[in-house]
Amino acid sequence: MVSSALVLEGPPKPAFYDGLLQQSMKPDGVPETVNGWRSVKADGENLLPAEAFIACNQFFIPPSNAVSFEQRWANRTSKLMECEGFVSFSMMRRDVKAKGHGIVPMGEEEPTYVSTTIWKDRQAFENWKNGNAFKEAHAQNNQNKGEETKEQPSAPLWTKPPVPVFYESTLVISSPEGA
Amino acid sequence: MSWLIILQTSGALCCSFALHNKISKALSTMKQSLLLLVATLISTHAFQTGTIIADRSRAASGPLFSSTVAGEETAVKNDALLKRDRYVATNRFTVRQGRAAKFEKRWADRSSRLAELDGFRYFQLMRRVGLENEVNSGIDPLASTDPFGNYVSFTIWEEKKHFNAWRGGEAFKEVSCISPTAQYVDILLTSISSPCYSLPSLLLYITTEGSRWYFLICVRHNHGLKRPRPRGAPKTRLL
Repeated sequence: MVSSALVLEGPPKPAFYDGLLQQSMKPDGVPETVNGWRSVKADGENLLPAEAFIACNQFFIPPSNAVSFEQRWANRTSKLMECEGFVSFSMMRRDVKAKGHGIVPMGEEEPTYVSTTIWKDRQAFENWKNGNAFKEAHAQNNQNKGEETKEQPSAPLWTKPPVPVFYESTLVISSPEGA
Repeated sequence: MSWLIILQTSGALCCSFALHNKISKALSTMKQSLLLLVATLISTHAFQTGTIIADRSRAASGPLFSSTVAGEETAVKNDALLKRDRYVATNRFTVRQGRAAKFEKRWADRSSRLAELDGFRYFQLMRRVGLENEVNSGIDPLASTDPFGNYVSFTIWEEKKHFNAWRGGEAFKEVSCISPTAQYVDILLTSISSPCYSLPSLLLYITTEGSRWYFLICVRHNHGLKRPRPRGAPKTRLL
């Protein structure tokens, strides 16, 4: 509790999502866990080693466009599963009805959808971005007015352009089936 | 005896100190009575702010997330929206500068049965990094101040019911490895930021974490205060 106050600025902000259009690779092996949690030595001085790279795109879609937005994504063909280092993809739709301790209503500045792609490492993401799969998806986007790129389509469904946010992750735990 | 002191104050004061083990041992006989005191504090606080806090103290006595564990809602009412394949629970943290490694250590050291639970698919602790054009630009991605903060805990569940089962039981046992007493007070402290219409108050909490004793003094903010200053109330602030 007290250590929370010293480490964090303000309370944590929970956010819950429906994971749509899930694609996930079955991993060759999963990180070892002890009694259900990772056994990783942390010294409190150095950051833990990165175990994955995550590319998120935040989408600001008003409720009136939600169906069209989802349909565009559902109608796309994805080649992510063929890409080296791909771990998983979810289009996450914010569950605005989630209630409970510490949950505050979603702010207007917050995205209603977040696409989340997990890669083995940053290089795998870069390779995808510079490769053919991305170019094909890009062409498809232009055709279908999809949202993966920052380019302004002819009929935008969003109230403001998507915002990319990147992460690296640590303490990864995966089920044997993948995400 | 009451540890609740009400002052005409505003702003925030938050301090703590841990007593050394020796003193802690000397105090150990007082432990039970102090625990009782904390419980008294909770009930006093609940009484003060009415139903909002009463709701939260119910959370303290059972599951951490109380309100919807039983009442599962249908997430997709509009049939045209896509059916969900997974349920994703995240928590977004803004970690203070220079505290990132300590924050990660708390996660590494936490005890959790997560991987063994029904419907668990994937977990990761996400640390914000720069975009392509930000790498080596001098921008510190951990200095982000947007609602997504600089760390996100990210859990994928097979179905929402699996997540609900976790937060209905397991979650309460594993809140960042802190003691049950500290959990009660943590819940209480979070509730302090709720809008309320009473005067700001200075509160003193005492709790234990392992062999350490903590004393926490905090001032309750009144973010929702819309009532005009009462006639004759002092304009100056004491803190």
